[in-house]
Amino acid sequence: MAKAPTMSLVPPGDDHDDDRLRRALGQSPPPTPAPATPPAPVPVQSVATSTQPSAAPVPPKVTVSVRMAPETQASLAAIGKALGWSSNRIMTALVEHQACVLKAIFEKEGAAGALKLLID
Amino acid sequence: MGVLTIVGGSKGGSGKSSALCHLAVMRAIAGKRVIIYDLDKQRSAYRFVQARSGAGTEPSLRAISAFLDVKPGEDPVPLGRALIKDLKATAADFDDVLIDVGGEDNPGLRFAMLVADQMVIPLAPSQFDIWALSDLATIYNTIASSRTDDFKPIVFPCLVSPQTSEREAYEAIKDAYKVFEWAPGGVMLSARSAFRRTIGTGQGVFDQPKPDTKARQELLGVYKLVFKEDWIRG
Repeated sequence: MAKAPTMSLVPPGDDHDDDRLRRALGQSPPPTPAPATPPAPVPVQSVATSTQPSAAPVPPKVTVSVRMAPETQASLAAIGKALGWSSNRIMTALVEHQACVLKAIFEKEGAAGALKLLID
Repeated sequence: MGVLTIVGGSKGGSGKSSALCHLAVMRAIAGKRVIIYDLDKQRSAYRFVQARSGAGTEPSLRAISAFLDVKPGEDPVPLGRALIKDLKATAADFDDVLIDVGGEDNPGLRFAMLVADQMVIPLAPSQFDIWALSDLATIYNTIASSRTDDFKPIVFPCLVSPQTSEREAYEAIKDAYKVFEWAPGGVMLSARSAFRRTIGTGQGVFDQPKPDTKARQELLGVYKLVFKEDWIRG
């Protein structure tokens, strides 16, 4: 009578797909390649059977402190209010993005390229 | 590959689950392989299929309940990825996947709108429903910018009183929401007891030996709107 649940473990999608999903939610896509997302089971229930959702493990993060000018922080707060994001969340996105860009340039062009990025 | 059709996007109580269930019954009687994919937290359509299954009514229907329960702080994207994958896999196994989405803005609605082939919006004649339509227009604009096709939901009047004034009111609303397509005049579901009477037992109007004539006529119109063909018993 009922279709058996077909939902299974789903491998991480590509960044393009994830960006599309985030845009659909009205979110800004994170500018960096996100860390590999753990497989996500979706709670599915057929008429006859059910599966329970399981929590996806969260990738570990480390906390860093950032110093910035008060007016920049105020701007971030204003932008965050418009986006519904906290200043910390915005900084996390910015820092991760720029850190990945820096890492890519360093690997490709070495210290000179990385320094140029930082100075520019 | 089957067709992914969203029925909903409107406020709760607009008759969307009822419309979806009647359409699913008609589609099954027409001999099509149809499944209800219930993304609504209330699981009304899913329960309808449970009731139908319990009563042993033929043709049988199938249903999946998959409300996206996104916890506060949880990233909904992995769930969305899984949902889209499953919707596509389900569409591969059926002629039609009728998706019931909740009445309010939620990730399930948005993700389904990303991949649905079409969407019909039952609109009840109340100011609350019109406000909800306004919210949906905003969501639609967001979704449309992520799609490359001409996906455009179609609105049809639902729970309409047989009074003429309400029908005329839709003409005025149409002009305000040109972002959506509107069903041709006369395609609507009125507030009829025939639509509600059999839902509890998992039956639709077309399961009845002698369907209510007016209810039948209205459902035939909506059926053609959704499935682009006349209803024929399979």
